[in-house]
Amino acid sequence: MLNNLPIGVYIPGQTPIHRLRARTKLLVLIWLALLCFVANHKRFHFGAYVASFSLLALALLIAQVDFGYIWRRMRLLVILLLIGVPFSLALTPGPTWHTFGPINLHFDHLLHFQNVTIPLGPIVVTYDGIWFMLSFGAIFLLLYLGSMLLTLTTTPVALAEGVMLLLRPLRRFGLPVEEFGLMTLVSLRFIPVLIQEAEQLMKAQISRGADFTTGSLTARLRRLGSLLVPLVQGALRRAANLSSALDARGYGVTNEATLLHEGRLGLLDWLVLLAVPIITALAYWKLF
Amino acid sequence: MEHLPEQHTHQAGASNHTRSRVAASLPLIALEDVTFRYPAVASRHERTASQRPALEKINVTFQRGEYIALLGHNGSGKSTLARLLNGLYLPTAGRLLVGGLDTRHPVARRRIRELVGMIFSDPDNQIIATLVEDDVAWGLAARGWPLARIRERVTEALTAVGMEQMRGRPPYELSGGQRQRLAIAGVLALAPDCIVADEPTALLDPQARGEMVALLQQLCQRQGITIIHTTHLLEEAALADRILILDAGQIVLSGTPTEIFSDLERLQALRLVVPQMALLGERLRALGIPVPVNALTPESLIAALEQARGAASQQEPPGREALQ
Amino acid sequence: MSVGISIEHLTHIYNPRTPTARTALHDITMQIEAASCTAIVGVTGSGKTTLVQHFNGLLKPTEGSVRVGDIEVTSDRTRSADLRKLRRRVGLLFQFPEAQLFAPTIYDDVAFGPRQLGLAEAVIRMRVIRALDAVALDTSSEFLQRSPFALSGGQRRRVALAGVLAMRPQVLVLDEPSAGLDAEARNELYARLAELRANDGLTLVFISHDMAEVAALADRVFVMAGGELRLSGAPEDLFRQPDDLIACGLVPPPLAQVTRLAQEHGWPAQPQHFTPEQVATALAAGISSASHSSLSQAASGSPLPRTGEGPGVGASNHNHHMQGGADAE
Repeated sequence: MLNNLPIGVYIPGQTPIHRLRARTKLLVLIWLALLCFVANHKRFHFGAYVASFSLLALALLIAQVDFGYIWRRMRLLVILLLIGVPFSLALTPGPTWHTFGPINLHFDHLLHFQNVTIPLGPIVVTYDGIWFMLSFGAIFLLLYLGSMLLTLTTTPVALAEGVMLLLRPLRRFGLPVEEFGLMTLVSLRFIPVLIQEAEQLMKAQISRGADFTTGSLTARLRRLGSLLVPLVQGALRRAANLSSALDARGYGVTNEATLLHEGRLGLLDWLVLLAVPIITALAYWKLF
Repeated sequence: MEHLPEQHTHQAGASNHTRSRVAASLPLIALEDVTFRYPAVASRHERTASQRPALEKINVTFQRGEYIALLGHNGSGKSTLARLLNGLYLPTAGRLLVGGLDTRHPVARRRIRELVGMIFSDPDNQIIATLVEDDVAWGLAARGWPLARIRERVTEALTAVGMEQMRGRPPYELSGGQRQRLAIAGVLALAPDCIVADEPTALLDPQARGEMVALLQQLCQRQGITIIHTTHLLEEAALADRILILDAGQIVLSGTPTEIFSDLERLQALRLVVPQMALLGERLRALGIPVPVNALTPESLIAALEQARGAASQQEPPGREALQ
Repeated sequence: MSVGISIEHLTHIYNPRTPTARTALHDITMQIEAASCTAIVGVTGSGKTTLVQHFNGLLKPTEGSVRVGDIEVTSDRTRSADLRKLRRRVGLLFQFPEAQLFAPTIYDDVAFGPRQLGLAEAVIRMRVIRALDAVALDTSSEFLQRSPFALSGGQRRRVALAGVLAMRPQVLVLDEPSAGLDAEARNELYARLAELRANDGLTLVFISHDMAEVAALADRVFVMAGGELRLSGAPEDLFRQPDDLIACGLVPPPLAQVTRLAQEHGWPAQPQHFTPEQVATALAAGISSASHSSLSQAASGSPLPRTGEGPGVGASNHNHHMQGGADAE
């Protein structure tokens, strides 16, 4: 279940994508998502999407990530998107592209004494429906793949520092920006640990008779308690210990922590920060 | 008292080896009538219905450079005591001074946490970063040290625990023993006067356990760091300078390993696992063979036995001497 | 009725056919006799836990087979009815099992497994009481209604063990059952395990790091290293060759090391078993015989294979040196 989160475990590497500052990668991802969202209003204009996905694919190639790994983590999202396809196609109003049906389904001797005809449809697929499906599917996919790439190639410490730097202007409004940074770090660090713990716990409960795959819904929900209660307890115990450890190591001694990774932007960062918006914006306005 | 901590923080950034910043005449840590009672609700560790204090009127001092083993079975109060030593918990009554600073004083507490570093039994709960060197650097970065000085310190600390080869590795690739050494490096980077290790070997296998104790010994001997090591295993305490045994929140026994290991029945009564080597030594003494109480490794015991055998053969008639 | 476990050419690969594939077990063949007590030892990461998770079908072999009585698990699809039967037959207690307790009362927690079997409440109650009795916990209704979280660590672990026993397994597999327990809780656990084996004919398999524990409980030991089965045999036999254990990264029991060192230093016959009493008696006999036979030893040459010097002056110098080291501590 938790395997489908768009969070990869950082794998050390030396590729240009690894070397980019975390805030560069964050900004690019935010930019691409926003652009695709805006491009949604221009029906059947694919420029922004083609450009964004090409750049993302290029980044995936440069970063030498394992496509099998990404695919395994994406499967559920793809399935969910596919399930959503008929609904978004059928339920969006607008100019008609094609009408399917109505189809009449005949059931002879249903319940042994009656012939029943159930009319299905007509299903009207609109242009808006098709566009909605394509554009939102693309935005989801982009965000998912982008955050996978981000977490696979960026150490959580750098990511936390990046988040903190990007949010820093908000400090003026009293937002606890440093805490957001630490929260990011702790979540990224402990999500894989919790996943592992959940898997162990599931095995342990199966070993003493639990069966998570059969039975009524209520029975299954009740069994889920045997996972959730210890998991939450374990997480709370871990959190208490972690906070002791952070206290012991002097968390919050000063407000101005040294940045370990997010130093000045390099040439590569500037290049990316300039090139990506220019290429995608051009693609949005000029192409297609 | 007020100005001390700030001043020292600046000094820490200024020079490299700044241990012994506290007047050397004072004991490093002094507990004066320390009582600690868990709050009624949040008593995760000691869950006794009667709400007896987890620690009661503890009086003890720890000197600079000492290796102290705090022994006790589960629930004896040893972890609670460990957590009082750097102000994670504050005494309910009495006071605890670290280098003359009272842990109840919030400003002093920052300084105390630099003087007294702490590691726990599950290193996973204190490794915060996902690269070895980032984790060691974290405490220094949180204190706003300049990057160049952080790098220097990180290298020193990783070298001291024998992990400099692994600085670019993610912690999940490390073994349990290596993770625990990483946790120690994270504390060492702050150049503490004292390291409190709370059950550092509880989750390790025997070999890693031995390496951990050897590392703590080495830090004590080479760098003069005071080590306070809590454990429920007597054999880990055998090399300590001083052993304190806790039971029901009180120090019931204290002394050198030789003193402690000479009354095995008492140790068993305190629900401690008496090492087989200690039992063997006691048996041998009962059979009239003079092996020292502190001969607790197979090698030292055999050495003592060889001497005893030598002595036994010397007592033979003088005619033998001629042959040699 | 007791059953054993038979493992043939078992190989397990995590994430097979991916770049992150990792061979955790390689070509393991072993027999666990019915009603025996078997220890599986090895350093962390040697594959012990992966191995025992095959015993109740939590993991399936990548190659080879695991057979428990008439149920065989191979890499092929095993029928889920068979797996359910296997999991009832083989109870597996995980490491730090107290962390898996979840129910509001001790009764509900132990009854968790039996309830999944759809038994009548009266039968479940009987099973719960018997299981708690088997681990020497209170079976009064007042105790049954208490929260498991209010118990001590050792007691909570026994509640978790009762939860497995309430499934009435024929084989009980324990992953480091004594880790983190204090002396009292540990001895209590050993006593219960011995009793279960004697009374119910349970086949016991346990993972351990503690060689003293292995020597005390097991009648057969399998030593794992790097995902392979390296050594097997009776504990006494294995401990007589401590070097092989050390090569697998293990720390032999200290008394076995004393015995081995004594033999190297030319002490007379050493005992077969390793209790402090036996070793002490043998060593004492060595001292008294030394005072009688040192004359003949001195005449016949060196009984010390390692030092290779004469037994008289050379050996005693050696002793003084060692003793000096001990004094310095």
